[in-house]
Amino acid sequence: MMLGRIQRFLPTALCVFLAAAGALAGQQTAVENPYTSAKDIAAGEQTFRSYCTICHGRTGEGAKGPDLTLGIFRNATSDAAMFSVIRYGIPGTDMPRHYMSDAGIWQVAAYVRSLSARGSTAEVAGDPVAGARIFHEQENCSQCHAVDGRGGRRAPNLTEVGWRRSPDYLRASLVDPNADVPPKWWSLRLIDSDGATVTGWRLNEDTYSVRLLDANDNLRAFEKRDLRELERIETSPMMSYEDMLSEQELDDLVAYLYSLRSNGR
Amino acid sequence: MTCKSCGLLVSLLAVALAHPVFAQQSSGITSERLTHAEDEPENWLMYNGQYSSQRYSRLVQIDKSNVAELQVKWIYQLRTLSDVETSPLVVDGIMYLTQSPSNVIALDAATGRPFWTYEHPLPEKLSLCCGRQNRGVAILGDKLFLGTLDARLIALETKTGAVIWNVKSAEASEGYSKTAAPIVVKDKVISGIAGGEYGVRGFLDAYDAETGERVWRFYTIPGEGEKNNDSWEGDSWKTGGAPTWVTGSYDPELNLIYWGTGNPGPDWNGEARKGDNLYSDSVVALDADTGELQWYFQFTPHDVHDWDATQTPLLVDMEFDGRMRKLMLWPNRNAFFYVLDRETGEFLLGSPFAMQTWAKGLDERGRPIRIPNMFPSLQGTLVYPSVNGAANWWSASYSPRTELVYIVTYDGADTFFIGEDDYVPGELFVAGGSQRFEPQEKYASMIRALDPRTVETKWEYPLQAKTQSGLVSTASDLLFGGSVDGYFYALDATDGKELWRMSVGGTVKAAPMTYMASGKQYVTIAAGNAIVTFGLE
Repeated sequence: MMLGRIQRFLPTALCVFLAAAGALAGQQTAVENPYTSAKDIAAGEQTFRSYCTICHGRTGEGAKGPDLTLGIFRNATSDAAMFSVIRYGIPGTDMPRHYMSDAGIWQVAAYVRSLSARGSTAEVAGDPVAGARIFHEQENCSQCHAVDGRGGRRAPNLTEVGWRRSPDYLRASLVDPNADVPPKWWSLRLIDSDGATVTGWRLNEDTYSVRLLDANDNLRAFEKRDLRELERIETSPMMSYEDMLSEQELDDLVAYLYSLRSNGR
Repeated sequence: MTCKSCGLLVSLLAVALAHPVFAQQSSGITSERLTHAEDEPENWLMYNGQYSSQRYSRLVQIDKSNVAELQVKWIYQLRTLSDVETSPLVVDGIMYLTQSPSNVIALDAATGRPFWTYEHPLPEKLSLCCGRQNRGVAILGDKLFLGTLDARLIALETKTGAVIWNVKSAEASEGYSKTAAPIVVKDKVISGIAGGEYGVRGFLDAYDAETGERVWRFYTIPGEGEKNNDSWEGDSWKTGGAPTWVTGSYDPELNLIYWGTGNPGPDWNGEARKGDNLYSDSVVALDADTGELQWYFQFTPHDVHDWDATQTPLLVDMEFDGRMRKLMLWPNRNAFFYVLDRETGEFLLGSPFAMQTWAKGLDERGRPIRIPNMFPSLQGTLVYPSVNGAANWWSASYSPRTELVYIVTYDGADTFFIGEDDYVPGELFVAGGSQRFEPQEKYASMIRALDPRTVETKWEYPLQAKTQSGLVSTASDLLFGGSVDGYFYALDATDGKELWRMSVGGTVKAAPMTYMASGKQYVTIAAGNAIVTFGLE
């Protein structure tokens, strides 16, 4: 059967999750992973490859999702918490729930813990202070991106981006912004029934209609059948910085973005 | 009338009400009525409408000229946050539907107001791969029949919801559960089992409708010494899955029950279960009286992509190759459409109806000709269709007027990984997994109207990707369906033209049905966590 086992989110499970999370949180010092043998870790690695590599990379080095080799698990400070994160996901992030056996989850947790051999932070070459200057002053990135509540709201909030993205992923995003643009950040360009062209941020789209935030910050809704043209723009409005910044500046900017995690809540 | 005669009358009435024959007559749903369910389109007497599972209604009050005037007549809010996959029955003005996890509700079909609710208690720990669903009930006489998530079959009194009998089919602690609506065949209740991700050994059961006593059981994996047990390596048959988690069909003339079977286990690693793994991913034809296997056809031998053959068998009598034949039509999860002779199981025709990259085609016996290197791997193998399949459990429809099969299809892909799992009773036993590397928006779902004689697509109607709605067609050439993005719509069954739609505010994961109450035709769909019923002014 296994119908959409990974992607499916069951609302009823939320209550269970909250209850379980509460119970587990209370036992965080008491509950330890019972599956930590070498065999368990090997089994956990296999499961990890089946479900986790799309975000965390082939060996947990991180990509679209956090680097798991650092030994820093903000949402999983105990074995019990890591169990909950794997089973129930993290609301508001890309981390989904997973339908696995209890043993399977513990084995993945054991494998993830075993990855923590490289120290507390990834090696980044640049200077985060210089990177902050590039971000806020030189390139004025905060016109679109917010950090700590300051900045634009029409592009991803970068306040805690260092928790979520690896340095390699951050650099790739600067050099080739179109490499990975989630649907949440796609745009629309359409011509309505009066012949007017409208462009904007694609907030929602279904089979028959679209809703967007237009260039004048108006929420607009359209029936597709009323449109003369409709184009979905799956690229990023951000330009590539490959030729705009030097290698050193790119390193500095990555170092700054990667540092945006120290005061994570 | 004296007090003495009053007492006598009360006593006689009590005896009469307690007598099973009287009770059955009071409801009036007989085996005969079930056999000819299509002749009383004002009712919806079983999960897929009739034994042929065509999901075709002869009702014509709602037609092309007035369907655009449909309006909501009533809404019943379910007390659940789980996905809703139920398809109600309507019997003489009363609607019976199920609610997650294993509850039953009786409503006035004209107003949506409840008569009674039965709430089934469940153990705390259940082994469920895919949610706490139930898809419906069956009816005979004064009894409704309900399969439960703790693998029990229960008979409820239609008038009150009182439990008449309650029997255990299997051990829930070992991963067995029931999500499908049973069907009633003559005096027996036919009920399948779920648990293909838990190393169960699948079966299909028949129970005496009156007593709940099990009459026969057909194991979908042959036991030691039985024919085709050698299609499993070693002891792998003992945990081989092949569950029966979607309702099947029945041909009264042939007295054959047809039922689809699910994936072999573990799902994604076939190394320890070398062989064809019969009768997983198959349709089995069973003698309705004895449960004996008459024939089988396996769609996906040695499946490693979780492509259960748990679609509803569509039984159609039509001219094929120059003569009238009793056919079975099957849009399979593996992306091939099959036409079988349902008297013999002979393969007549097969062709892809959705995107697929795993087989070059089918040989003359209908066996897939596999493309090499499409099995799950450590590094991941990209394959169409996805684990969700080109089709799945949601019901297709067939209209004898248009002679077209209507099915919600999905042209999607997944990357499949191989893994290892040790069998532990009640724990997942899948040995691998799958990931989708592209956004869902890159793929598409659509209704395809297929000519079963050629597997040619006559028309398509686009839907948001991964729509899981069933369909119903009518004698006024309407086709009703829903979508994952929360719409309910009516199409012209002849050409797919949209005639009406409405935002119903929640995902549709169920099949619509239609009925009459107080002389008016209604159409009902489960959407989000509500039952929504439409009608004309």
